[in-house]
Amino acid sequence: MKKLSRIFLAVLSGAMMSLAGCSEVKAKVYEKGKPVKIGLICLHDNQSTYDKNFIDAMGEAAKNLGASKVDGEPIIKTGIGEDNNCYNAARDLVKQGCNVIFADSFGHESFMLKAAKKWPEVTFCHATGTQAKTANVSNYHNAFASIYEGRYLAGYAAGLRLAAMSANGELKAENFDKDGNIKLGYIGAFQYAEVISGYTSWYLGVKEVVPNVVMDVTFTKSWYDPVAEEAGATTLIDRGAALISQHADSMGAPGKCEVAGVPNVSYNISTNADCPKTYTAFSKINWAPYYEAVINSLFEGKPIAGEVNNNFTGTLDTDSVQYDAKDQNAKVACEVIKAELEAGTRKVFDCSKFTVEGEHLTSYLADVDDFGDFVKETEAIKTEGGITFFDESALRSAPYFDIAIDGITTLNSGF
Amino acid sequence: MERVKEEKKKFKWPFYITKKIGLPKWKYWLIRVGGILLAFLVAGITCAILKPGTFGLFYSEMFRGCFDFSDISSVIDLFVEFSLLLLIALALTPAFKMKFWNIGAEGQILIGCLISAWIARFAPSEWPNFLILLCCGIGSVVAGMIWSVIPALFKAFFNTNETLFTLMMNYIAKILSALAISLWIKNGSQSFGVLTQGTFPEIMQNSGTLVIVFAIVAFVMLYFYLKNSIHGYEISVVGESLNTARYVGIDVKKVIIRTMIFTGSLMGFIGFLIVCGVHQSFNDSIVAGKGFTGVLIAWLGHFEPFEIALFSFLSAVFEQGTTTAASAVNMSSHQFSSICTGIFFFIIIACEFFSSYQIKMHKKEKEEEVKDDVSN
Amino acid sequence: MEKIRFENITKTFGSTVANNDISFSIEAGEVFCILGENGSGKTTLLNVLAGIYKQDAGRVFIDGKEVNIESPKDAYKYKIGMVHQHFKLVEVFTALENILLGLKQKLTEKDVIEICDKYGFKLDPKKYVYDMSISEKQTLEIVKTLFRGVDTLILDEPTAVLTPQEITHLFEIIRNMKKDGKTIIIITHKLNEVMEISDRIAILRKGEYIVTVDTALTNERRLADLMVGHKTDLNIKRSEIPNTGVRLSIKNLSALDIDGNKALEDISFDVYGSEILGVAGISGSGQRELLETIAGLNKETKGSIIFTNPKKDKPVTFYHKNVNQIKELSKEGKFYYADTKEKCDLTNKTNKEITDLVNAEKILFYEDEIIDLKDKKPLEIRDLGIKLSFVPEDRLGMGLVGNMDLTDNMMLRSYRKGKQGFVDREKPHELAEKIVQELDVKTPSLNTEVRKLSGGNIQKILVGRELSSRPKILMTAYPVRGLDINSSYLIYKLLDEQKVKGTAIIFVGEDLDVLMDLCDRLLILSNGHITGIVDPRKITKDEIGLLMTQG
Repeated sequence: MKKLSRIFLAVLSGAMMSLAGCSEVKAKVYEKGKPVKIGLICLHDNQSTYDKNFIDAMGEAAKNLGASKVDGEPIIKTGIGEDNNCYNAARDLVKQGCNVIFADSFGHESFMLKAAKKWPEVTFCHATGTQAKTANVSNYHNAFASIYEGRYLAGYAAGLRLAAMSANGELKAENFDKDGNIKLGYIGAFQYAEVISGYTSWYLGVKEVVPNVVMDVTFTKSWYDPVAEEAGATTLIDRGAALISQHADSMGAPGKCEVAGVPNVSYNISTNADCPKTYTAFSKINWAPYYEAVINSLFEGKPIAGEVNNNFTGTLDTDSVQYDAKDQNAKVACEVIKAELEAGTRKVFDCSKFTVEGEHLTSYLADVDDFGDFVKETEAIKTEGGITFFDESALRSAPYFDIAIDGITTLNSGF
Repeated sequence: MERVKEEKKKFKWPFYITKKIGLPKWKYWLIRVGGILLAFLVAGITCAILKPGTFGLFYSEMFRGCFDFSDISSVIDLFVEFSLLLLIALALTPAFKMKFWNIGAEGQILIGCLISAWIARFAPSEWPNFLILLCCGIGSVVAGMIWSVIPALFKAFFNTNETLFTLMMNYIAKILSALAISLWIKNGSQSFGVLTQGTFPEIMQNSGTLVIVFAIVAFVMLYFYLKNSIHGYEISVVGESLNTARYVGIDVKKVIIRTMIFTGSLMGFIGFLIVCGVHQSFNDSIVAGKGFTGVLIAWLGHFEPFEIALFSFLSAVFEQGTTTAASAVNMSSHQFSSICTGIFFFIIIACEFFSSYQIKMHKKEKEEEVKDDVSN
Repeated sequence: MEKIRFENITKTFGSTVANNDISFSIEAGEVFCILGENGSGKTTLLNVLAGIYKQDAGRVFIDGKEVNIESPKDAYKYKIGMVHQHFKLVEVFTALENILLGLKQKLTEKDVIEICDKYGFKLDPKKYVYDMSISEKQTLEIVKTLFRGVDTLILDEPTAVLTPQEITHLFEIIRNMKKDGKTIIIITHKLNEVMEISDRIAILRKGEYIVTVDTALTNERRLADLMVGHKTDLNIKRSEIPNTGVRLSIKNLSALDIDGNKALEDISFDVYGSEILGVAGISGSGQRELLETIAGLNKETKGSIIFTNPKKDKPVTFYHKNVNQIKELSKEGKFYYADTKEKCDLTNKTNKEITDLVNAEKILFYEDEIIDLKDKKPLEIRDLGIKLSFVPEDRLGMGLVGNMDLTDNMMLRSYRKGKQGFVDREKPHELAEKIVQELDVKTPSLNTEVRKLSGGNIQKILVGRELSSRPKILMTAYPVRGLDINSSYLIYKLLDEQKVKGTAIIFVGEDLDVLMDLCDRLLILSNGHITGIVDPRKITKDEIGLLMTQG
């Protein structure tokens, strides 16, 4: 034992001595016009549809930009938790010479911001985050897309299928509530703005076709939990949901729907191959345009195109928001709606189309500026071209619609 | 006669297991060192199987992940991880020596984390950082202590099973943490973010550096506590023989409770180090299984401080090294690192098995028996 | 005709060789004893035959054919059954149910009674095992094997737990079975029994086979020499000296055991200085509880335990009294001045004056101190000089810690005397050195873990440590359990020496012969009652045996 302790002390003191000779990580200063070295931090790997969407987009963007603008393969770190490991991953990317570092999960934000302050020479871009607008750190950026429009379109396509089912008499008694409304179901992760905005826009899309719908929402309290997502789908099916969608990243819910024969609208990925019977439509954010915009701006030494207050919101125009429907006739009908959305003649959160406790909204303060205080300070209701609507994703990139509207029931608390 | 035939048909394993006694120390350590090397090798092979052609890269990246002296902070990270595992395993040791099987380290640490996070988040911002840290430290110690003394009281007075009890306390701590976060984070995102106050200062680029200092102090103190203190002696006696303890007049209940207060306080303190020092953040899985890894390490280290230090260090090297290697070969860091840590512990435990038992083949032929006789 | 033959049997456990190259044979229909001291490998060898162990090398022949016995089931196939020291019975089953367990054929109570009558067993097939005495359980184990068609029966130390009457009865049964043509193998270390029952004797020593002798052609002396390997002196010395008055007075004591059952009921007796009081009884008659109660470890008691501390004319110390207590006692006239021989009242003196007087040994006790032990904690009782060295079945169970070295084990007595929360290892180290030297403890070093030592050496350490504190009362239970003959006699000698020094000794033993030779008085416990306190010089073994089963 004594021998062992001596060896141990020798190793320890040796390590300490060598520590004294160490130095800190220095970021490489980027010179414009040179290929950009890219890093990407992902919460999970491509087993998760959410992360796969980012990883695929990065591959596509790198291909589009070409070797002249991208230095080698982007370095992708997967399975990075939402704690100091994210900061450590960022540090390792800086060490490997990355000029821009992206991260994909909401919980990464604080650690990305910490890293951005540490290495001002490197550009840090965080998807889905909320703090860039208020943090005032010039090399820290947030990005999101108007995915609520995509969901609205997917919901519209789903509404068309529901209408057809209704007409064909495929709906059963349990699909109706006591007031004769058709029941929908939705599996969410957490009960916060990004998810609420998602399911409300989808619901409004369906409602646009089939006015008498109500929706149950159940939360899994995790971004990726196949078992919980499948359990959520089971609950909703047992409650008589005629159509189901989810804001959760595994195949748990779509798989269950396929087995039960309940039509499903997916997110981030088309489940057409795995669930041919029930796949109805999907929507997703295409991150490639954003990645390309960031790299191009770095390459040219210009600010990131389309950014306001360090916030980038991808739109239908820039192909940042994508959707598809299985039924080509439905797709055609959706394209009409899409054109209206692009033209601004139609708004997803049109206050005349939904009520809150029986009233149409005329004013709503949303928590747009994230100081970590949860104070709702910004008026989000706007009137433009005769439409009074909730102006989602315009004041910052990440969604801030967190209103419980009539017709949607949350089965459990998302806390 | 028929019965005899019946028996002969029955399947019989070709080998049997017997206990090995009196293995010399050097042989035992040879087996262990061999096991450690084997673990490194198997991890590399696993990597090469999952991503062909990465065998060499795995080791170079693993080394870079642990001992990249151009990045002092990453080296400190390694030592922080080492320190945390060491602290946890050491904190468990007194109770384990007493044969109190506390597997609730995870929960005892987490509850300490929770209290630190709570105080650091809601302490008035005009308080000096030092005061907030002090409050966090004290709060966490008390919380960890409560978490461990409850099962100890039940064990001492009602003789409940401490293993199940401490395990259950883990889940309670986890649920309380999840609940606290959803109450604090009012927008529902469940994301705690980074603490703005009540954080350790950065030394050598790393806010966890002080954790290493605490670990060294704790190591020295615990070493003497276990080896030379009256308490340590009592713990050994209680652990070895309850009857003897009774016979020499040791109040066993008191020793159980006192030791668990000690363990729990240290666990709570580790929670404080994790929240205010290492992560400066909080979530319900922030302890990340270290509490359970600590149990393994304490066991494999035979409750000997230096052995525990050795295994804590190796475990930290494996975890951090494979995390870095995983991203270099495009694998999910967390998953791959878990697999490798699993391989590591599996092989080391197998070594323990083969140093206490041996597998012998059944002798079939008489000639063999004679041969064996000669070798005996 | 040869029944069983061992050929070159070797069995090792790690580096310990339990059986080394053992060869001998057993004839059919004889009573064959395997004689040897503890640790000589008797049980291991027979466990090989019974299928519990598998030999590392060597062959076993039954009826001239080589056999391969892999399990107890295999052994039954060859009609071999073994009754172990620790019975393997289901407590909540009746005798019949225990017999039926694992048996294919159907049996009725009548079958059991039939077999019992045939051999002379006393067994009620309807009785539950938990209601049975040890002797009944043993009978049941034997009957069990008979129903499995056994014709070779191995008995491992069958008499260790029986009273003299029960032993006589068991021997009758063995003779009946022999008449019936069965082969009986008895493992034992008791010479007188070997002489009484066996036809032939194989002697083992330290794992080696020594010789097989015909019982008719040998005697106890010779057997003992063969067993030990050299000439031995089998005389126990009992110093005949007058006792020095009552040390311990126990009145109407009742106590519960650890499970809350009645263990002692209304017992009263005195213990004298310079006397060895033997306690005899079937195991589990309350011996353990009696000692634990006196030592203060058992608090579920009624009655009084009065200790007379022989302090008359001895100086007062601070050993277990503080200044205020001394003041109080002086008011009651308990002390006198050494110089003036006057009774002293210290109430008016300052604490410092008293301290000085005490330290100068100027204050003496007027009379012996009378202390009620029931008010004291175990630790206080130990500090008063009442030492318990209890050696239960697992030998290390009480009093020593197997995984600690000699020094640390010495420290069990004194570790609290350390300073500032740290232990002092110096004095225990000296004590360990002294005991190793004086009692000739065989140990590689003082840092060796105690469990690695042989039973005899462990016992010497335990007894040595207790004696080193010069106890006023020494309680010891089964101090020679598992010891070789030489060590046993050394322990007897030490106890007798201690008695001469004035210590009151309570000695719980199992070997009646030893108790009768060593003790001055003998207290017999039966079922928690005292059935007699007798002078062993004036009573026969059979009479004691009767007392052991009374009540």
